Amino acid sequence: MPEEQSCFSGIVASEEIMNRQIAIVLMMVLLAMPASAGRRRPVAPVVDDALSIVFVDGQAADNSLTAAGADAWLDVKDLSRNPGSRERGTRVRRRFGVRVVRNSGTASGTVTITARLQSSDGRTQMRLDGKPLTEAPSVVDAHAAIGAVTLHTLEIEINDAIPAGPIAAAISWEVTTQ
Amino acid sequence: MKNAFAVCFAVVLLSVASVASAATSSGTLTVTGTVESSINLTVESAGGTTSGTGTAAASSDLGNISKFGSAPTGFTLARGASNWTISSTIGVQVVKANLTSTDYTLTAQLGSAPASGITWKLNGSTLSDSAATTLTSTGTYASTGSYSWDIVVADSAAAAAIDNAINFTAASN
Repeated sequence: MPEEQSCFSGIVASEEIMNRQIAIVLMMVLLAMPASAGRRRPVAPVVDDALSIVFVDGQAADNSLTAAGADAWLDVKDLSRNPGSRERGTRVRRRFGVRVVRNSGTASGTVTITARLQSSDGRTQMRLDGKPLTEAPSVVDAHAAIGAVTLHTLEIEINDAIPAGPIAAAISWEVTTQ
Repeated sequence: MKNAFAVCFAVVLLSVASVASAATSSGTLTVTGTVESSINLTVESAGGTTSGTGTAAASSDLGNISKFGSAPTGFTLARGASNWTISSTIGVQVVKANLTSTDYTLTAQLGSAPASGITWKLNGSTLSDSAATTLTSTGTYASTGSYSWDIVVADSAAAAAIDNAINFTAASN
């Protein structure tokens, strides 16, 4: 009987040890998780190394691009068929620059820049550096240096059959570190 | 128990991996503009030695012309009792873009007053430098219209250059 008790108490002791071990491991997990998932342990100040995309007007005296943070507005204004042109449709080209910066200010490394047609009124066809823009992301620059401006050409084509009126489209850009 | 440890270890690894993932950033370029309606006129053909056909500013050199000489390239010559006429055609094309109009009106006007004794005609109508002459009010877009072109020279006209310009104007209806 005492052996049975001893044995019984021995089992209890073993479960307590296991519970403590599990608790320790869970605490380690919690400490390793991002701050958003729990209270962050005190650490040394972290440098903000996030990336930002900046648009730059690429045509002197054009002033058609207005940048605001990571977004920009390109107004190609009034479009009409070039007098004397034998081409079908109207084409307009705008050159602009894209610069990727680190919020920390450092300019090292390269990124991949992709672009896709986020929305369009369907009245135009757009090409970026000669490639048709679609809703699927396409690589614009596979090795863009952080901090450097890369120039790109947006070509907007308007079919002659499209009625006169406003056009609108939005191009989504994404940069990813390599 | 071993299983419990394994799960916890995996969670720790995943947490570390997510910290080391690639950084991304995004932006949007909004494009706006306004498409305007337009039409475009080109001179496709003309008698004489031409240059600039297919554009809106063609020229035609007739060389030296006389009643009893030969007709300039692309012209015919008809002699009358007191005058003579060289005749050809001018082809004019008007195309439209971003326009719902179905036809156009084409007019012509001389760029300067013709020399004395010289008469310029298109489609049988005498041209002047003071008022436009309507050649058609139902022109078909993207189709070359051919208009008869006559230059009538009176026998009394002085021997001199007859240079002039015919200004065409197309207006969508």
